[in-house]
Amino acid sequence: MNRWLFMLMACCLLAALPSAAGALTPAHNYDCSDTTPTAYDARVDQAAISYDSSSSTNALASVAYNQFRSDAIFFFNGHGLYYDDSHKGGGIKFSSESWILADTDGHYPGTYQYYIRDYGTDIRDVLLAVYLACYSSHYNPYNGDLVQQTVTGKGADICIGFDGEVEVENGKCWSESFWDRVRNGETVVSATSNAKDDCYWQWPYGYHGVETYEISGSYNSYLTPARYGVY
Amino acid sequence: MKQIPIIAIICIFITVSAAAAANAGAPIGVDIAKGKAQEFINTPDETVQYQKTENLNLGDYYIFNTGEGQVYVNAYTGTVERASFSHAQKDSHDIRLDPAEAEAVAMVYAGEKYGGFAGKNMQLVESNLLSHGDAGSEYTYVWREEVDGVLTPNTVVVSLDPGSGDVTSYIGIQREIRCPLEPKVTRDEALNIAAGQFPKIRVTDATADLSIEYTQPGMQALTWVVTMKGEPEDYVLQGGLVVIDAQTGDVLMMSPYL
Repeated sequence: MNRWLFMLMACCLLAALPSAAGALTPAHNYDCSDTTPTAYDARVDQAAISYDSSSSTNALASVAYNQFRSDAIFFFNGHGLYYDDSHKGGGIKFSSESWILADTDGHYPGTYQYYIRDYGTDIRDVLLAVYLACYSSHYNPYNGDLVQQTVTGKGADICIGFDGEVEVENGKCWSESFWDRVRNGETVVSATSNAKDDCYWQWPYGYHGVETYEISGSYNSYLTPARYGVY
Repeated sequence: MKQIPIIAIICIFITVSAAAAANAGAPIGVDIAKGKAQEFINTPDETVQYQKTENLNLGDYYIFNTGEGQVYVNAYTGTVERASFSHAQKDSHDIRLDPAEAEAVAMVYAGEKYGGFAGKNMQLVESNLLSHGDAGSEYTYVWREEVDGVLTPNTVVVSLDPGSGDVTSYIGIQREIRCPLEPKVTRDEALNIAAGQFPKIRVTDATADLSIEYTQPGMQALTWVVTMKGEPEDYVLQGGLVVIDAQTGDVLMMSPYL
């Protein structure tokens, strides 16, 4: 009798494992008022593959910066940094003129700045960071390169950014398609590329910037099972 | 009083007939579509599996997984209108083809897969060598048919691995033109309407293209597709994309830059 009871308990524990794993792998998603509901939609897709996901609109950079330390997945959809054509990229904008930046050479956009450079080893176990913003993978002599700093500098497994201008509607299209595709078992690189083509034939025709995606790190990975990146 | 049911029946009959006429026949079904997908990829050892049906403004599609990509078959015509070949991207870190060679390869592929490519006035509107970081690079060539200065829905997109020249993705749309090509709104008027959507910006650059778009399922509309860039404000690029109905001047979409 005891043996059967033990087996039953073991089965219950096994069944609870996926949800327990999800609870241990947080995913935070951020958008701004123009780009809603992309953060929520991403959250739903991530939850379906057992990430403990949450979403917020118009968050402060300080909140996102602090939560990034515990994230397995970090997703941002909003504005990127632009001084002029020679100095663009290296930052993503949150509410109240607050920014997350790769680095600085003495240029400080906005009111509050938080730097990926300052993380130490805090984001080394991030599996995937997605910066859906204008110029988010472009090197800026003032504020560095977000994608490179996240992966090469700080050891996250994978990071996606965009080298060119992306606009709101095509960004929404790409985001919706990308998260749906990784949820359905595509690799990060396959979902990124196919999402780009999903946007081409929506109206108005064209890629409108989503073809400028750049991926750093282990692009052939899947997001399943839910997990952190390699520490 | 008895006339009401008779009128109702006549109305239903007219509606059903109109809908049937608009659809121009029934969907071809998954089995026939699967054959078309198999024929398109032309690799007998690759398994083609039905994934789902998708309804877009452009049309309805049966989507198949091929193990190494996807194939989209038009549910009514049986034409393969999109395909991706992810295995073709493996050599994309080495750039062995120069742009002229790559364009020639893309053009041959377009000619093979897109019926009547040579007979249409297909204009190369984009040709890029795109770097995707660690995920390699690809050449992308975009053609749009141009008739009387209007970009039609007929388009071909071919992306290539720059190392091997293998095609990584293909899009080929072919539709009859079913809307007038003469705009009532001029280019300058369209640019003014677009500028009105970004009232505070100082414009630095703007483009406007007359384009037929599927703004609703199965419905073509002649539009002005305007992109407008302005000087930055609070460290953010200003402007974006505006789509304007070229007959009425109505703004159909306003999409600022991120």
